[in-house]
Amino acid sequence: MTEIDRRMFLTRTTGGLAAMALVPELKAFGGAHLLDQTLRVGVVGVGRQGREIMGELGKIAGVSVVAVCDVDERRLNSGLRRASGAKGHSSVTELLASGTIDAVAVATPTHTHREVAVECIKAGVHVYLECPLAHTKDDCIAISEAARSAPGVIAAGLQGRSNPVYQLARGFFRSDSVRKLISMRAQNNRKTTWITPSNDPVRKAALNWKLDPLRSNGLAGEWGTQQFDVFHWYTGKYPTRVVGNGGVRFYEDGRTVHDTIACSLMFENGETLGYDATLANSYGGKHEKFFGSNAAIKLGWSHGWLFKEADAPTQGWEVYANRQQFHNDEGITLIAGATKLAEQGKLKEGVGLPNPSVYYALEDWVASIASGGSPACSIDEAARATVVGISANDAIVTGKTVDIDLGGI
Amino acid sequence: MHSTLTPAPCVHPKPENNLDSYSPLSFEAMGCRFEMLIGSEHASLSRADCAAVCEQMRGLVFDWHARLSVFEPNSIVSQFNRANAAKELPLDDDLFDLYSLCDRLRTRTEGAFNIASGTLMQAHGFREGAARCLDGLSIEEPFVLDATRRTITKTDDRIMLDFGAIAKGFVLDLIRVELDDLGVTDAFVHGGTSSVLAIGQDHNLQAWTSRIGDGIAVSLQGMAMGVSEGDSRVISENGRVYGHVMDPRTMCPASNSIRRAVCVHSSAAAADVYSTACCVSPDLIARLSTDPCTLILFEDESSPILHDPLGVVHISSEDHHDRD
Repeated sequence: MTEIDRRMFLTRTTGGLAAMALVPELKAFGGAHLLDQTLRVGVVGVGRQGREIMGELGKIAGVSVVAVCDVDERRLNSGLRRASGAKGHSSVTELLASGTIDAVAVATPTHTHREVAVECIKAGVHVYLECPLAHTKDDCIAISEAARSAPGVIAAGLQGRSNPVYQLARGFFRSDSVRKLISMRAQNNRKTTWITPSNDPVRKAALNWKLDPLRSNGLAGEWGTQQFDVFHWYTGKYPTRVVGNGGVRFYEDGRTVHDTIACSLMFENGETLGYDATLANSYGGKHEKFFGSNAAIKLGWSHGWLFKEADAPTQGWEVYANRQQFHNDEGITLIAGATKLAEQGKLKEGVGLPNPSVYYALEDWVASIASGGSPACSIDEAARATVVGISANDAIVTGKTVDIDLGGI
Repeated sequence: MHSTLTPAPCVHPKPENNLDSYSPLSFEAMGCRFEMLIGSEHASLSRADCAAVCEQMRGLVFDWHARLSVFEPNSIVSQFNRANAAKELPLDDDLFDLYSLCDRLRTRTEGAFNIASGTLMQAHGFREGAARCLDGLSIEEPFVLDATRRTITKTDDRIMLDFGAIAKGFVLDLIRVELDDLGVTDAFVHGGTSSVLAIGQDHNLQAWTSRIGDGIAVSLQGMAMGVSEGDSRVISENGRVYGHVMDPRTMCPASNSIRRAVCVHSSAAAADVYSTACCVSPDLIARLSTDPCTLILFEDESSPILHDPLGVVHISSEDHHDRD
């Protein structure tokens, strides 16, 4: 075998297959599903997130957004312009009564999730619910209980669980590639005001619920929940205590919801997850990191990397893996669907996901509806992650150590 | 075949004001840098509100970038470009209106602007991937829009769209609507310095002013400006150098002596399209000027061809100082 043949062979078989073989839970990249008939979806809440959901649903074969719902007339109108032929509704009750939908995707403010979700679940439609699941633990329990007896597929939008890169990386993590887990860190840094502008004071107050401490769980709850769940899912464990702090460090506009936070989530066995987030700086963006004695894994939602220690055992396929340099460290790029891409000689083209994470969460939901299977993220998992986020916010706001109580979920 | 990318410093907008009370925001999208100045002096907006307005506009641009970019593999345009001629593709109202607008502007510019120029960009090596044969292909009617069914269908498998000549102007027009909705009365926005929108007045209660060359300034109160350069990107083949602006009528790179074309129009989309069309076909200046717009064509920097019914162009014999 010539060197090129050998390299090609290794790239196309060993490397790709190793990646796949190590990941028994990795679903087929591309998420094939077969719906018997067009799935008629209504989208509730068509602000920026809702419109993104509409756009991603439009990419999924067999799905049609036939209705949109929002209490805000301007948002409803802009949502309708993104779903030709769809009907507009100003209330969920009216939407459900129309009898024109099989499924609902909910992207309303967090504190309204309970009311919307429970009504939709009780109506018997399939439900996709954005996360965090709810504003309070009681609301989480109410949604969880409603979902338990639901005839439809009820999926929660903790997007790491359906993200192909995260699924692949989890396979590496659980197959002992990092060896002894030493510590965990995550951050979400974005330069943003967190303000939705409006020249109508009443509308502005309604739209800016994230800056109202009575309706918002702050950065830890609204952003952290998604990221905390990645660690729950990978390790199979939940933190038991959390301590944190935060403040308004940048935006001098009278807000009381912190623009910068840091917290430490502690697990029973002494492992710790450090988390920080800010609205004042974007460096490093949003990512999660696992540090092990053999390797570290860094996940950046569209990308993932494995950083091996020099003394970690080498596997043959690594020699031909795609790599990326980060200052003094070299990361092995984690490529979802590596086998298929390698067969096509397109391994490098697989670096980075072609769709945003929410697409894969929605695709997984639709696939579950088509197959009658369970979605990647259940309501109970989302409820637990949300309670962790709520507890972290409590710790940050009060400055006290908070015990995380997952009882009742 | 070898392609060369060169920067396109088409225009240097210089708001004639003290910027201290303005909230600038910049971001990268649509292959260029957008910059926004929201006047906080004359609107009932705090500085934080101004920043939030800018973020909302950024969200709008990102949204349309994701939909219209040929470099995003799952954008709506990329899906269209991959589709075959038999495939009827659904359109939402926003997209249908955009396609309809492009169709009207194609007619208005006598075919000098055509979003199906993507076909020619591909064929002439300005896009990645294999060049496609143009034999027997016409892009005069590149697609069929069905207003009732809200669908679009290619007329030939090889048709590829590229919104590069209109996208920035199109989003600037949407930004104008959003800003108006938010009660913003004074703002200056540009995308890549070649697509400009000026609303209201600057800090000195004067019309926003942009310079488009030594000694030439354009007042832009409530107007938009588009600038096109014929040779900002070039490709060389067999010893010949071609500009990246395609002439959809000849199916070849445009060949004329116009280095730069500028259009001032109430619509940013029209301003962008007309400036491109004039680069392709300079003789359009006479016919396009029946629209309420100002057109300036540069064969060189010293002697512009000027048609200025709006009276917005100011030519000074003294060079302005660059205040960057």
